[in-house]
Amino acid sequence: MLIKLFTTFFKIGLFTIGGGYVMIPVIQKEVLLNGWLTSQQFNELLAIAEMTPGPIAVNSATFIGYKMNGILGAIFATTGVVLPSFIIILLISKAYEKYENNKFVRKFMSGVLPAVSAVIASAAITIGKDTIISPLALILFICAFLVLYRTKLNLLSVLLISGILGLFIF
Amino acid sequence: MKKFNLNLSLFLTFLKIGALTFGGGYAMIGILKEEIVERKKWLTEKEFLEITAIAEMTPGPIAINMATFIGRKFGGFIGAFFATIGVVLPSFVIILTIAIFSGKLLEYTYVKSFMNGVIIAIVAQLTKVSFNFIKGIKKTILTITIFFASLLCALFLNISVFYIILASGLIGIILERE
Repeated sequence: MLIKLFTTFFKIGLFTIGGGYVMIPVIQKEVLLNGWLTSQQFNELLAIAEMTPGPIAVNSATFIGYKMNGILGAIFATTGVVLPSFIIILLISKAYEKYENNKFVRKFMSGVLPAVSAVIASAAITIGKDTIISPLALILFICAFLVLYRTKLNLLSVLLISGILGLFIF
Repeated sequence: MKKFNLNLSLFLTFLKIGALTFGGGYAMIGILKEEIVERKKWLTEKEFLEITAIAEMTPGPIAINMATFIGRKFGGFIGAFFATIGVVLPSFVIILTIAIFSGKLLEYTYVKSFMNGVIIAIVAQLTKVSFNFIKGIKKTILTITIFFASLLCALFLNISVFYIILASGLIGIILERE
């Protein structure tokens, strides 16, 4: 069981590029295929993952690992999902250090930088669309933005205050 | 001793980021940028964006890719190890606690409301960071076109970010002058 958990989540970690929500259908397929959770349990897991910090793949691995085989299961599944990234990035970052100033890498990056900025902007729009759903939420968003943009107040305090205000808004 | 301090600092920084990353991988980019570029000044904005691009193009969760990359850059293998453990640990502990107490925490609606408030601030931070990045990019017809084309693709087409970034990079190789 432990080995099965490890290899399944290793596979999930290895074959999901782009992160975040790309992973959900892949995880869903593996988990239902193995009969580890019912689809209702899977939806509960998604709700939990959404409300807790951290990558959804890690959240799922820990949750399913624990349900199937206790704390040891959680450790094996989580290690499995993290390991592919860890190994691949170690190799890539080494290569990147070597070729960082190569002419083609520079040209490639000059095309990539505006694209990544656009992807980040689109993430702000997509997440915002699902959360900013009332006029009060919009006001909170604008205030939070102005505070972050104009003042030196640190991010952690803004997150906390916004969370507390969330209690009255949502 | 200096090495020990560095690894501890990597571990604690990513522990904090792991604990604050609500709303998925992209949400953490805003928080990570604040911590690594603005406060710690470990990377310039451009270096940060390049690492983000690589993290988005490699398999696995973006948060873990970023942690491993930045950890290795400053602390070699051991640094990568500590940064990665740091970013994973908060989710692991929190999810384990919830799984053990079978999700009781979530029956309280105020937890949900609080999280929604937090996520709104995270979206605000992400918006600010997007503005910073856009301001920082050298503006040519090529980069502006790539920006808007990528934005439209990311918003309206159901394609992986991987292809958007790869295609933009290839266009850069072909069209960018020396």
